[in-house]
Amino acid sequence: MSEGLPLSEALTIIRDPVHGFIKLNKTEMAIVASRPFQRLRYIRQLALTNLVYPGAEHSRFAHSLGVMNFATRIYDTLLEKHRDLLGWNQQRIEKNRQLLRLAALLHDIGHGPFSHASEELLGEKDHEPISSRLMSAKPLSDLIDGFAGVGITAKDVVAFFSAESIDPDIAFLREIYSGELDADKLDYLLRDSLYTGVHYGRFDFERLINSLILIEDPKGFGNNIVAVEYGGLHALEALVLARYFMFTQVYFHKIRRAFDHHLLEFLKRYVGKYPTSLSEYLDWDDNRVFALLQKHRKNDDNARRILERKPFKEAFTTHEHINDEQRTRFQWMWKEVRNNFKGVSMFCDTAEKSPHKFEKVSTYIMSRTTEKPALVWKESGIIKELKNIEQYRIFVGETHRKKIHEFCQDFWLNQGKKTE
Amino acid sequence: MAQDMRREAIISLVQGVHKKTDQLGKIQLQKLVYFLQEAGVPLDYKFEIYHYGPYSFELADEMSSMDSLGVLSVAADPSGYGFNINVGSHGSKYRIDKRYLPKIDDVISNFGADTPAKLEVKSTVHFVNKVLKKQVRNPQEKVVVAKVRELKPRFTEAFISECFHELKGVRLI
Repeated sequence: MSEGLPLSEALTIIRDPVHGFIKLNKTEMAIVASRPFQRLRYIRQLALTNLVYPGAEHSRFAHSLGVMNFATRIYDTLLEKHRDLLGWNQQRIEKNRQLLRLAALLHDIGHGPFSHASEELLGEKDHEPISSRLMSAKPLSDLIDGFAGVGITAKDVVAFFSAESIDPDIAFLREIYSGELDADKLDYLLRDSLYTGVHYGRFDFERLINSLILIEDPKGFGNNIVAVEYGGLHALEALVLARYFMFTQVYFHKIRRAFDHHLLEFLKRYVGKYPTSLSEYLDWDDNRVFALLQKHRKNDDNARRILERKPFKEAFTTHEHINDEQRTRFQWMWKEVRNNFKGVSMFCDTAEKSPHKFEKVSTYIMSRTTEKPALVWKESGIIKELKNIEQYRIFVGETHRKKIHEFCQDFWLNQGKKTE
Repeated sequence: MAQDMRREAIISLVQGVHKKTDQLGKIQLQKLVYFLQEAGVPLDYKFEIYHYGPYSFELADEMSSMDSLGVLSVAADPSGYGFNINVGSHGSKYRIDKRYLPKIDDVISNFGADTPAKLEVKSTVHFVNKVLKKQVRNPQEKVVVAKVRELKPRFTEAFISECFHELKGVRLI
């Protein structure tokens, strides 16, 4: 239809429910069409959360496109406002923009089946080492090298993720990709919220992105850091609250946590570790795990519980923000539960190590009163009041649930108090 | 347990620094932990170049957890910018393994009294030198200084060079 127009030749437009239209150039599309990227269609963003919220069937594929789009929008906003401050020429602006887009597009390329739920099987801390290996190998390396014309090769994209990068531009771009107000967070909150139907995750991202500015670090070290104009304060508060609610309503949902446990136990038993060979690794996606679950449905309790949706049930939970005394009381109680119910299959779920930091957000906002940068958690009454989530739970099969529940209730209310 | 060891190391550093100065912010603590890890204490944090030089997101999370557990106390600085870190009411139970004490002492004696700006540059110089060392055997001072200047254009060459020499003086370069 638009034959002959260079723009339409170069761009593919993908419709996305969070972003509307996402535009990709020809070489980016070749990356999207490659086997490693297409595999992301078969890795659910939220693992087995669809067993709680049936809509949560979305994948890392669309999320990756979304992060690329948000990263680009943040970059363009900052460049539009602060071109002089950065002092980059046109060539450098274009190169860095493309590098950021590629890094954002490929940031999850090495994710294992069911996203974070099976990360333990990678034999590494997280998926980043395997992501870098995938970007350094064919077909992705050849495809990324297609950007040599703007000065980008696969090595540059790998360097973007390398802890050893000492490139000043990358240090700046990383803030857009992984700072406190980053493209990844914007996309996963909005996307997870949309697909689960949990509306708490929504916030005014248009306002937030348009409020972003670069300021000179008020601590006087001479760095440029990303901050928020005063007008964006409420949009930022909404983002922080969205994250808080998404953790309590979705990411820490009790049934989701139970299924994460069943899945991980199953995988540890039947897979052990994912293969280190890239080609074999790429064969692992959610579908392959489902096939394995089917195979063991009759002989493995975890497989049966997942496929028949019969998870362990919550026998006890603390509330969402426990204090020191309650933490100690819980740990003691858990020990007693195990002593009193020997041989009963159960598990304790702790949210202590999860990334859910809401306190003392270090982002700066331009204060309307002083017209100087101020830490947002001091400026915002709402953020100031938020506490970390720290919740402990005990899960057990249906048969012993009532007994353990009663034991815990009694212990928590009576025995645990006696020694205070 | 790895997490306990990390917490012990952090508490030991905080206690040590407060013998030298009242002021300890998040950035300073990040850099001290960086140098402690570089000295061979296996804390296993992944440091990368961020705003103020080597930075670990995992360590930042750890500090926040320790704050909420009362192991550390992270309070806003009265200036309105940055934070003051102290040992929290539940911090005293953490004691680092004796064999690491000399390394803690070294880090405190080498860097405990440095300003945040100096720590930022020193840790960046150390990081850059370490990365360049993988490319050439002995990176020259001027190459290291030039690279750090690229990352930190607001600091003068003379200041960066001074940091380079101070690191050399304590044989960390």
